[in-house]
Amino acid sequence: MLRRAAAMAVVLLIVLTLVFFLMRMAPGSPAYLIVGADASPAEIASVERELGLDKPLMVQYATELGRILTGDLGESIFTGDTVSHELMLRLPITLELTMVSLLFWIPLALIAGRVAAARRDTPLDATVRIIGNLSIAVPSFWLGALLVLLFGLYLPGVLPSSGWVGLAEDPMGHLRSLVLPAFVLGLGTFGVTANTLRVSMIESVRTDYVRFGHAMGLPERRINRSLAFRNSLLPTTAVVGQLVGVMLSGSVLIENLFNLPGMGRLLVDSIRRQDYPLAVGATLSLAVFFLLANLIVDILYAALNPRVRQKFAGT
Amino acid sequence: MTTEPLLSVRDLDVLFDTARGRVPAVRGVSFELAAGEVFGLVGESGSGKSTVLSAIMRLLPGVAVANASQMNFQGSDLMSMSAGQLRGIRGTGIGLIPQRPMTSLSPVTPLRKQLRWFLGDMPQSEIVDLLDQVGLRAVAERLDGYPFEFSGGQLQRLLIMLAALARRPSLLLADEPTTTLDATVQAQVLRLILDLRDRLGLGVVFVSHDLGVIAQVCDRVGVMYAGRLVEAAPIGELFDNPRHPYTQALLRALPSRYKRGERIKVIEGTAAGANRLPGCAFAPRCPRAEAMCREQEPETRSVGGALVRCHFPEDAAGANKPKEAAA
Repeated sequence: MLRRAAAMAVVLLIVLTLVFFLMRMAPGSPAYLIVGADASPAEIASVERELGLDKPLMVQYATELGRILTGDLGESIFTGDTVSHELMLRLPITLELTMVSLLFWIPLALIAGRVAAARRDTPLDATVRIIGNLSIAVPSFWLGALLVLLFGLYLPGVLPSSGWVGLAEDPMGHLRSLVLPAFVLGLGTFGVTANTLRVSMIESVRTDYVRFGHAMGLPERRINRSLAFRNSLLPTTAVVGQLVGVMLSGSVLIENLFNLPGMGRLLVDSIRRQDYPLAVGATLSLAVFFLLANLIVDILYAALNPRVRQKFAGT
Repeated sequence: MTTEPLLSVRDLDVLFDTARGRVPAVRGVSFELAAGEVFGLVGESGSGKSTVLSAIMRLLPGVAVANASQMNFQGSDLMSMSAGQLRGIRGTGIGLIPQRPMTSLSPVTPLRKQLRWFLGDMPQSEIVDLLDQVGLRAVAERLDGYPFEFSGGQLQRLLIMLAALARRPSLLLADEPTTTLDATVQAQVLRLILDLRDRLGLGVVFVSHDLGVIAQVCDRVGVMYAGRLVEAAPIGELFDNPRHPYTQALLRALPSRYKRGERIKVIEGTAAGANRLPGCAFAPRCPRAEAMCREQEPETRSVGGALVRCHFPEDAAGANKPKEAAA
């Protein structure tokens, strides 16, 4: 566990370093945010001095690192608000979007994959495979744009195609505003998850435990559920773990497409505005989010696999 | 009244559909087994011996096609049974001891739960009693453990308990049950199988590539080569008076028959591809082969107490000596 925490810290340090230097390598300056695009060089220089941007790069880096280590992410240059406050406003939205998308697609994929494996080489199996492969192949920016067009222009009022409604102000509207983005965000996970489960269950026919189950005359249902499905959950969980990372980067696109004020939007906006502290804070928190998601998946994997569980407990 | 054999297999053929056409895995195998008898099937890997067991269980993979003029278990034809009927026979009428005990139970479920799948809601005391009977008293206290927490020998005895003892089948198929176990454990497991045979009157088909193991447990032996049963005889007869040239070569290759430092006689050539040959499959490696051996498949004939599939079986008097000896 300690080794894992150390590895996570290293990942975060690398992320921080990359964002810090990449942001400063880009032309332009955050000073324009404050004094406007047609400010004189002298005004820019004075604002940069105020922000500490005139100091040598390594000094800036050391200062920033020291500040972040104390838990202070600084203030947004654009809004003047603290970065942590900005993040607290945005994080729940991305978190909820990802969760809703997972909760919708993963159970569906598990059912589809299991049914397809049990009815192997039937039209039902073929249908699941075709839908699954389509869900992987369809680019989400294309489908997303198409849905925005469809529900925004041709079917107005059916489902909101843009924007965000807070849970407190209108619970139903809140859910409705999540439908389209959550659908597009997780679409690809459906195909990958269903395919993985299906292939794994079909291949489990060759395992010794399924053969022994048959040799002992166990009912087909028992073999399917307790042997083939239960064991196939292991590779499937590992794959879902990878997909959560993919969904996080996908949320950047989806939030911008559907105009949701989540982390993805914050990240794009802060980078575009060269709002250095906010961009660093957003990237870091997405990285933390990603690492935690991986940790949760690994814990889930351990819960499913007694062998790994014992290794966990042993260290 | 004629006593019906427990198991009777006639002209069993198994073909595998592969990308390169149909490959015969088992060809024309026939044998009978009486209750209380242990019949060994011995042969190299790929000779089809395990496939015979899968065919009897009707558990061949989807790419396999099996045919037999007869495959009767306790008088009923296994070949014509429905999936439901077969499920009723598996485990209760015919038990199977698998080759790899370490991977034959689900790795992610505690033993207690898996035992319940196989045994139903059996009271704990009965489970403990069953475990006790196969020398697993200690395991009874660790039923919340997972398969990987037990040794191969423990798991194999547990599987034997499930397959042969708990539901009292009358036929036991043992698929190389000791190959993955070390020597001392091997002996325990063999003794357990024989003990159950004595107590329950089980008929056993025992597959192995190890003639030493076969010699310890079997009453009769069938020698398989390239999908064929080339010789079947009572154990003493086979070892004292082998008649098929392949059996003779196998016995000559037994390390225990050689003194230290002496060179062991190997069988020249390989069995690969032999299952597709038109004549006798062993002809290319046979010291006694004549032209007809390569053209014409020998029929099974009875010589002494043995059934031999050879044009020139060596009888007890020593006729048809190998050419090398005659020359």
